[in-house]
Amino acid sequence: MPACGRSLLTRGVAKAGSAALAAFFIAGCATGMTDRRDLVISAPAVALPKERTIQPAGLKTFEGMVSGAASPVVVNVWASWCAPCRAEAPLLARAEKRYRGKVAFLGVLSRDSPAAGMKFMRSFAMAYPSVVDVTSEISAFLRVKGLPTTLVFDRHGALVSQVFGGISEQRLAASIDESLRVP
Amino acid sequence: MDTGLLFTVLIVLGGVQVMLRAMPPTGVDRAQVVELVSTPLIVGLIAARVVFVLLDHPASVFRLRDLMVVRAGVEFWAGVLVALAWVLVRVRRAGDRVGAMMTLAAAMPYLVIGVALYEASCLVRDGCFGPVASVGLKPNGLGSTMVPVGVLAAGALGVAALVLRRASTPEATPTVLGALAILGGVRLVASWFLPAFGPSRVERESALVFVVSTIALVLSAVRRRTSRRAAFESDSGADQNDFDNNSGDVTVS
Repeated sequence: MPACGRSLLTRGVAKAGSAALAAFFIAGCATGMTDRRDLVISAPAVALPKERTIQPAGLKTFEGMVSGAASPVVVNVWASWCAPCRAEAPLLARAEKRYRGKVAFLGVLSRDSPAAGMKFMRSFAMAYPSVVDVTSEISAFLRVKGLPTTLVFDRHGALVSQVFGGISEQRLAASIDESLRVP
Repeated sequence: MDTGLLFTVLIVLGGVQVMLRAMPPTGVDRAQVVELVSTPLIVGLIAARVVFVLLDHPASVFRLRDLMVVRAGVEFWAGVLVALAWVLVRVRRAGDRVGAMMTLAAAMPYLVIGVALYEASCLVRDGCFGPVASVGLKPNGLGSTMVPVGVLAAGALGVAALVLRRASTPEATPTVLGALAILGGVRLVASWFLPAFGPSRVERESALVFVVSTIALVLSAVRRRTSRRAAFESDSGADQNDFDNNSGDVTVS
């Protein structure tokens, strides 16, 4: 190949590479695993379960727990077999410690056994309670597309943020801070 | 799989390749620099994630799928140290000390660009948040507009990399120390503004790296200046002796 043609080819490859990178970047931003929709949970108040426990709950009970809490609530839908759930568990445990008294945390164990869930909670020193989504009603109501899913509700039961897949410290902290800003 | 990891690797490696093509290193073999930059960036990223998991939940370190969830967190400075150690080992193996040091100095700006691209990829790792402001980006799924701290840090590092490239000297020590001081400073400032659950390890480590590398950089500059002055004085002393000796030999016929 002549030198001039090779140079043009090299430039073409570099330009195509840059365009592909830009496309990946834009696609990555556009297909962020988050969603924002209007959802307000309002139901007769139900007390949150005790710390370090897992108890079965239906949709009504779950709704009562979220709307009954006097503070913002972080809901994490998880299972012990899910890798991103394991990856984010230490982060959630740290967040619960950091915001104790200001924000309530509630796990929703989905498609898993309570025994496996308890073992997981002990392994990661997770203090906050979980409910077992026995009938998958809660997951369907929250439109869970995959595990884990993390939702943050403000003190009025309105959805502030919803993240499908693993959550980052910055995203969780920003979502909690936003829920705390709601008067 | 965490798509954030895939995009991060693509952005970092692709971006560095594009930069190496657009602004090739001067005075050294480009292929050598490509090899010296690409592998350490990936090795550093892997090391950063592995060390984070080791510190966070050691039992997960043997689970490959857990390690792949890069958005859960990385130990930034562990990654930088491993990447730097990797580069140093490769350079030392090259044999020719002077040539190797020149290559290392030439590679440093591109390593900083790699870190800048890693910071910019926070957009795909869900980590580009900052204080709420009227100007900035509205993260997908949140109602507030926030200052994209990660993108600003990437911009600062990009500019620093360009300055380093222009100022790059054949001496590796000031270039490496300068790069570390810049990384430490930018990371420290960024960590003040990134939302987190209290003071983070990266904040303390960045402060330490910034202070230590800045002091080392100043000491190295002072030492270089002193040794240069000593060399200059001994040279001029020798010249004076030569002059004296020569003047003694002058004969008038």
